[in-house]
Amino acid sequence: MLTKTKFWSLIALGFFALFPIWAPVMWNHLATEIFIIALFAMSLNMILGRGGLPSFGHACFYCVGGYTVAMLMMKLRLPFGIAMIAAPIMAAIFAAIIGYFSVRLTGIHFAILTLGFSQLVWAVAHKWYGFTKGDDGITGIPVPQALQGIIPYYYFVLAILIACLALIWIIQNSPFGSTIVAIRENRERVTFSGLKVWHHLWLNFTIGGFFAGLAGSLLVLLNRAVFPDFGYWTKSAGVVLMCIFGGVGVFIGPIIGAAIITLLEHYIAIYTFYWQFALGCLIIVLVIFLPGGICGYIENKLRGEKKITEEISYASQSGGS
Amino acid sequence: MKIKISLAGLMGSAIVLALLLAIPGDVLAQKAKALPPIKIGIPQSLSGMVSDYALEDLEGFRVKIDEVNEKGGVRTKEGKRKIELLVRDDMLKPDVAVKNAKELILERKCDFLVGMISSGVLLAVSEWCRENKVLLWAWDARTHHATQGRGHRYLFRSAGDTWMNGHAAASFWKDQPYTKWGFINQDYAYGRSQYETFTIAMKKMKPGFTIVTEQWPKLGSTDFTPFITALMAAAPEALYTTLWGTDAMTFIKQAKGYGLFDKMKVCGLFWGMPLLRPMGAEMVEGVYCMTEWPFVYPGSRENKAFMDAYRNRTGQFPSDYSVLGYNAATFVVAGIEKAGTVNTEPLIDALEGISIKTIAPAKTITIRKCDHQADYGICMGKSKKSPEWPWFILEDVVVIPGGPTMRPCEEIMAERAKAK
Amino acid sequence: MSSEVLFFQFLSGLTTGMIYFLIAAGLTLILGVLKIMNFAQGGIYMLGAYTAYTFMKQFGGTNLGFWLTLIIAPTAVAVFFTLLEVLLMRLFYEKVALYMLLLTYGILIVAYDLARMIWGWIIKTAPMPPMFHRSVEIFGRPFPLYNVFLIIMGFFLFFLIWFLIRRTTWGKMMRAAADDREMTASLGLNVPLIFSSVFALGAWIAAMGGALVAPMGGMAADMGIDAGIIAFIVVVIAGLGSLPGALLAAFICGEVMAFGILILPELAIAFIYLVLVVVLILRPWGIFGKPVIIK
Repeated sequence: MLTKTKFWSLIALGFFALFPIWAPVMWNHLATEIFIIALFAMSLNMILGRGGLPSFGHACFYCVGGYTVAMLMMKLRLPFGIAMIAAPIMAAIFAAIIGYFSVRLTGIHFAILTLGFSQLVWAVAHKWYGFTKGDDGITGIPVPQALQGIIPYYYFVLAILIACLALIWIIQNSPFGSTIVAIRENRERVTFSGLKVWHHLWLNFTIGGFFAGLAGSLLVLLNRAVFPDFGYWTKSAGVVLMCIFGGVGVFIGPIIGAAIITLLEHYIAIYTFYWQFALGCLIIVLVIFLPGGICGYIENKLRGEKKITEEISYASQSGGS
Repeated sequence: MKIKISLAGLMGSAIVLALLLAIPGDVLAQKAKALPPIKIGIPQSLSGMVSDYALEDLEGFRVKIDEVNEKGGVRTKEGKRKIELLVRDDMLKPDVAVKNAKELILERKCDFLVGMISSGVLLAVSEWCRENKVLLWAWDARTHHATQGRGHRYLFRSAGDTWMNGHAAASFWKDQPYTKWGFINQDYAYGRSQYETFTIAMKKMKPGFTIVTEQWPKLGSTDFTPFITALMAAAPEALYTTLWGTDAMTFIKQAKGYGLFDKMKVCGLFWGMPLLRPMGAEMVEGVYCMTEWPFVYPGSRENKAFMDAYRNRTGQFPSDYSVLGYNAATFVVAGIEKAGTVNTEPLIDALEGISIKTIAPAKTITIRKCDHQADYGICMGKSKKSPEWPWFILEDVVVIPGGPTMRPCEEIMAERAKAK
Repeated sequence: MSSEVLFFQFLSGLTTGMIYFLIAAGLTLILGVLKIMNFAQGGIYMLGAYTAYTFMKQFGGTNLGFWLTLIIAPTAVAVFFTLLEVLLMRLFYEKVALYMLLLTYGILIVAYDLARMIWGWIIKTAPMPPMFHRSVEIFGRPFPLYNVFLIIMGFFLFFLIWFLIRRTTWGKMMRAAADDREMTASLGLNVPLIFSSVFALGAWIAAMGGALVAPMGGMAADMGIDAGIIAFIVVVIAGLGSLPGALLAAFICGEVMAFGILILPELAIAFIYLVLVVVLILRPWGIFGKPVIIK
């Protein structure tokens, strides 16, 4: 049975599968980068959108994934396959540790805690010159023969992205996923129903970290380099922005947000040196007028509903308790 | 729970598609001229603390390019071609720099790249250029690793590197009576490189050389007081520092109050115009400043012409960074004229071993064949108040030629072979 | 290492700590009462420094000019940001924390480029007023008089604000609004006005911090980004809303920096992050903060 969802998904798949054939080389690079960042944003949205927890330290897991691949391949000369598997696992371990201390809090406290931990990881990556080569970063990471050249790598990343999206979809539509949403809506009630709130949130956080680590490792292989600022707090803020911009309540919201923001950053920076001014104004306009993000806005328009100024049943806590 | 993505999905994909189609799509509608301009991509770090240095590199480069364009362009086999510059800011982020390089070469079809001020960015972009066989001309980023162990055919550098800086400083200080040295450098690749090369050189050249203390403030520190007191507690005879930008200014202002400059001789690398000018009257006298262009020196005609041209263009006096940019442009233009083309391989062949006349500090500079590094020298002078200018100038200027401070080719080739 | 050297290092740490306190004090106030993580705080600090630079230069670097600048510059910057608060931020107090976080982040990066657009890209330094071109003798060694001034100013500002919070009616209203917004409103007090006044004070302290630091060294537009993180660390260690906590935490961080440099020069900054993480694990609400319900 070909539902609407499946139909449009196939169209999108077809489009991106044929894309490299006609697109100029640079667009392949951009598209690959967008796929990776989209995965990063989707991983955050599991915690932020579905889980209702404002994580401002998500770049940490992205960074850990990237460094794991880089260090395993450069220092230990491990093959690509092993490094790629190890990276998200390592990121998940970090997420499990940080999540352990963080998910018992909510709102602003959660944001601060995740921000603090991620800055610590950044500081270590930045300072521990002997281990991570500090702010020099690690460059010249070898790419396996089969993936050399942007076209093979494009398809590789696309395949991984599709697999991950499918996985995330399954997770979010499972009983586990429904519990997460329920916790977001009304934590107390879920507690009374006997389900272990903390365990669910912790597991969700860890899974989010896993996919972020995978995204980080993919980016490292695209650029052949990793740097500590993969984990700097402005990157965390950036990916939060992408989710909000695209719309946290919609499955592909983060993907749209990632695509648009990445393209905007790329092209605005070409035309003006003051692109941060433009981005800042965009953020301000966005939070005031489009709290549901682009996808949320479009959805509402299509249904003819009046614009919902409060987020699509986001979190139940009031501003920063 | 039904997932309501279908319509949103459609709209979303449409937006992405529209953006992908509308925004790029080579807007450079080239009028069918007889000879298209030569396009030089300029990946540079224009944000943050390096801003003004980076801009001066660029402006110096532009002065020369304007001169050439006014005469109709640079001579190639096909005829005269004008030069067009496409500038991109990477905000000191190596991955953005690589993305810019890709965009400039793959999308905008630039003929080659000139730029670089940050060592970290240079290493990343250099890797990419090596793999993609793109000529990269570094006008400012200094890490010696870029042309030594990590050097390759496609990278050229017209500025003196950290190895040369350290050895140049040592060649001056070995004749001075100070053996107990303190160090304060910013804790990142550049600071570490400079510390490394100066200490290596001094150990070779100065018997009795000892490191009494080393301080490593991070880039952009607002407060140097703990470092200053630690330095003074260790009481070295002389202090070598490669602090630059706001860090240098903050350090000097704060150290003054502690009487640091009375207790030890201070030698600052690259403490030329970019520092002296904003410091103005707050600078300290008697500080040893190393700079590639000491403002009132040389008094040559070419120097004056350059200063006037630069002031006409920017309204400001130039600095050693402007000269770096100007020299880079002179090299590149000379190379194109010698090769007759901008095609990468013949251009590289033409640039190897090429010499140009320069303003300062020497009369000519040459690109060495084995590592594509220029034998750029440096000057050492002592800071002094000036009645004519609102900033301090340098007196007792000594020129240290670049050639002898370079690392021997055999050592570099050996290091490269080991790295494989 | 002689005791004089240690004492000097201690004084250095005190100076550094005071700078950290000035940056963090406003943030802890805003966090404690308004419950918002003001990412723009670093930007306010930075614009305070730049504005002070302009005024000090305009006044010709004189002593009188310096004092006038300290009165005018932070006030001007605080007014500007309070206007932003009234126009933009007020919309978000009732909403989820996330939007406010993004809004303040947006304001921060706008402030950054605004500084570059207005003041240009060249690094600058404000002229040190002539009266501070001297040092005091401590144990026979010179210590900059300006540092002494800064430390005294820090304490003065601390007591001023503490007095405002603890001993005035306004302070009482502010604490009430911090504890229970709705109740305070239902008692007839104008909560938005109280919030704005708290924000104004928080911004004023940060801008004053920037102005005080301006003659001490060079400034570039990105000084705000770094300052923001330091403020954040100090506030988290101290506990949201605790002013004495902020002073103590800033002091601890300053001394950790000062002595860390003597012990392990390269890792001085890492020590502070270590303190942060220990606090985050053991007492995530900070040393002096109110414990948050942990599920």
